[in-house]
Amino acid sequence: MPGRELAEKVSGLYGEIYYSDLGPFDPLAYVSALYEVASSFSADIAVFPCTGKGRVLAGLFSAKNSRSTATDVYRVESKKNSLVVRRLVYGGKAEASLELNLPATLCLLQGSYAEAEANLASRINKVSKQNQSCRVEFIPKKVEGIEPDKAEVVVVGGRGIRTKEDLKMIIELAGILKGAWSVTRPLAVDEGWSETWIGITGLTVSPKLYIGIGVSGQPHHMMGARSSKIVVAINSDRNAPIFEECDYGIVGDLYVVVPEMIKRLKNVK
Amino acid sequence: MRIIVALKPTYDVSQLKFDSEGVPLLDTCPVTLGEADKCALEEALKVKGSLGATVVAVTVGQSEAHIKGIKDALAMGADEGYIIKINNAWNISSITVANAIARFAVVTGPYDIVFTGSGAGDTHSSIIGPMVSALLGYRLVANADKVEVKEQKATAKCTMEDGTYNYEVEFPAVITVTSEANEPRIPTLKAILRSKNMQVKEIGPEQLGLSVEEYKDIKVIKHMVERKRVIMEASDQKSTEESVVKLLTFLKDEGVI
Amino acid sequence: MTEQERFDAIVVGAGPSGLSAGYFLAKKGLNVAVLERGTEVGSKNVFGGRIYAHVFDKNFQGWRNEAPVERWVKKEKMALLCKSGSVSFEFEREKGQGSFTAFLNPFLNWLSSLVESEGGTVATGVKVDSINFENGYARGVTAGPDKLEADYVVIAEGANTLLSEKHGIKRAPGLDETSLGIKEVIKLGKDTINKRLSLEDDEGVAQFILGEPLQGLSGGGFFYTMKEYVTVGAVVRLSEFARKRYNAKDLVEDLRLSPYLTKVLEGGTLVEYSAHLVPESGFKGVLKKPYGNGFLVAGDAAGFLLNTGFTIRGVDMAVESGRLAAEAIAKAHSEGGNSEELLSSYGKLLDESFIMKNLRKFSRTADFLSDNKIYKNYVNLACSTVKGVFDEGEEAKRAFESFRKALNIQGISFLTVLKDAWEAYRSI
Repeated sequence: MPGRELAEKVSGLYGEIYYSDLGPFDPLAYVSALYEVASSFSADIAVFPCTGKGRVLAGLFSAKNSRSTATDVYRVESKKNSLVVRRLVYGGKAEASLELNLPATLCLLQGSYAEAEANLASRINKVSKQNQSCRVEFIPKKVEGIEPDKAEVVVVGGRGIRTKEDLKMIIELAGILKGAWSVTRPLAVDEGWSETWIGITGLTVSPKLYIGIGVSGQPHHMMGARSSKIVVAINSDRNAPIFEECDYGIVGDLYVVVPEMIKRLKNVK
Repeated sequence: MRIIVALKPTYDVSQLKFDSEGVPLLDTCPVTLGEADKCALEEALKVKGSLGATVVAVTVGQSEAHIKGIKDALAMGADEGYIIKINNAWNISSITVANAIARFAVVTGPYDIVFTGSGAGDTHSSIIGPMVSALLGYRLVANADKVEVKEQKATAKCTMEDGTYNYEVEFPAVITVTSEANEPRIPTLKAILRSKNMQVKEIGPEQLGLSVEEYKDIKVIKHMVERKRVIMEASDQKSTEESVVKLLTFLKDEGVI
Repeated sequence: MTEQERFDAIVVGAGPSGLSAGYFLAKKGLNVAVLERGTEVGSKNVFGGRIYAHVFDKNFQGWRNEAPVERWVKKEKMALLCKSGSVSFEFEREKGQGSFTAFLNPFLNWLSSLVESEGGTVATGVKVDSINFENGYARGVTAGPDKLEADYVVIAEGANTLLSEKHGIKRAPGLDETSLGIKEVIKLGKDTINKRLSLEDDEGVAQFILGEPLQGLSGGGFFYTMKEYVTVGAVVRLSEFARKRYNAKDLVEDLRLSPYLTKVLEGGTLVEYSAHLVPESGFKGVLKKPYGNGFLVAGDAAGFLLNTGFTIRGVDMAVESGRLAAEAIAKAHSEGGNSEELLSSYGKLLDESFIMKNLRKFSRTADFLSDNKIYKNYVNLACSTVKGVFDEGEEAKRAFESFRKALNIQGISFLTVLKDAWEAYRSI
């Protein structure tokens, strides 16, 4: 999306909005635009999203502009000259609370806060073009159906799914629930069954309903789904960690349970 | 070509346990080099094999695990190994770690490439590489799934949230590598025995002109997500039907379907 | 061939026996490498937690100040658990004698540091694929793409004897000759342990458990105290799992949740679960000739493990057999050869050592212990008898009267008991 268009889209959410047309993600060019903006006023807090690019920019930015940095933050409390933040550590199994002196840079987990009302008087500013640091070629990902990080229902297939063919069941269930589907990392990276996956190295989702099918619940995956409102688990291993952090769980063979769910849901509709 | 590989021993979080108060039992949790860090080292060793390079492994911290990590790197084939002697390395700020690596690169440099893992298995902040790049003024390639190093430049394929980026950068550069990039080599017996005679060199923060910043009052406890944990059984036809009906009723009551 | 690729001796396995062999070989000035397939020394070992001290007192000067001892066993307990209650015995000794508890990993790290301080090499993450034989003589080992030469190879690979079996040194043990040791480590905190078991900081409990939670399987449970942790586990014949389709993990859980232990363990956190094969064919499972041209076998691999019925002893025997292997090699080395004949002094040393003395003494135990009766019927018999003596309502009973009644309930004839008692007397 061109910078101007994007800036207008978030108009009302911020007082001052800066944009620049820098082309595909060149980390150093992007951050030098940020440096330029930051030098025009002294910011106490810089916030980035907890995404691949967000983390890169947070690291580059904070090294020059603030000494205090925390990623995977989901709560922030401000004190006079500092912030007390709560962040996830150890793959989301533990949380750390720590105090950061200002100025501070944060990477905020998606879904930690509700979206703000768009009612500010915004001023849109353009930042000049920056020097390229490298050659970049960008291939946007293909999304089949709804994007998981924008969906209200996300159905996720894990290691319990035996073949790529069997994923159709997950996709069908997601379709009936008008949601998106995705997988855990092994299915995407090792098996190549999907371009995206949910987890700390992939997408972070915060749907109203997350259904993990054959998902064991490794911390690195669950961290990408922890802010889901309701978590449902279907797994044949009753000792799978996902049963520790789900709202509703069915211990059973997914190849029996999921078709039954699909059948019932179709009958209702 | 001269290459630094920055390594960090990390807790195997899948084995992390907590006591009844929710305090993590770190002393019983295995600590090893992170998978992505090992892939970063493997990339450096591949360059050593193809173009010829001196590979220097460095870690920030002086615990047993840090020393073991560097020994492992030497066994895999690094030419030199350093620990930067900082106490309580688990609790120092990211910028201190990044500064330590950057100063180390300046003091022992110059270097063409700094390789590091795209994230450590335990915190996975993924910000150390970018910080080092900013501090040194090196170019940056982050989250590389595939790297190819040539005489003057490197190309890399990186997966980000919105798609795939193919980069071409000139040196000096910081390249962060994901655990998908390669299959790290397992040291051979002879390589292990050879590395036994190699020294893990130590360098103090004062030699690097480094001020160490520790987090104050950091409190770590088990992260409890408030969940209802209603678990049902589906062992046969009847219980499957019952469980599915119950589940769908619950979800309707919650207003999520 | 460079110096790094040639050793006087190579030890396969960095468990108690391998490290002991490595240490004594290095101490005698031999150039030795100890190779371990796990990523850390002892990472493939599991043991209950108790080590007998005598072998260290005799051969490791100053060890009491250096070795990572958790607690010295002061109280020996034995408990028979039944549905209706439990019978237990307790023996107390002065602390600092007999045995101590330890975690094997730090303990082996200590042994490993001794090897290296004597100039030996310990390399981890090395899987030895085979022993290289030339003209019938062991001449070194192959690991992956690498070959190492050595005059002597000590096989200290532990209970999983793949290498010995591969080279026909040992046959694969049967299911009924192997037990599975399963163990949980639970964090309780030092103060809680001391308070609940009436102990001082460095005093410990070693407990042997038979009965109900083990569901009549051939095997016993154990409970040891570490400084901050306790270990709970069981050693059960492998054939029993096959026969009863029992899940090993559930077994330890049942033991942990038994009324007898649950109070002691309350509020504890399970931090580790592990399982490990234990050779348990007793005397008849011991390698008759644990040496040959250029090689010796030590520790569990040679079957040097003793189940007396009340305790399982492995580490002290392993350490001693490693030491004796080093002795024998040093002697052969000084005589300038590595033939079976020159190494046969290992056999003599073992014969005269406490290892073989004990194994001979308990030679009938393995068979006796594999009899299921003792695990179920007699535990219940003991409980019923003692219960009868203490709480049979109005009418006070004499001990023998309760015993006879208990026999009736269990459906055991008096003659059977006499026969088994005689067998027990001869065996344990």
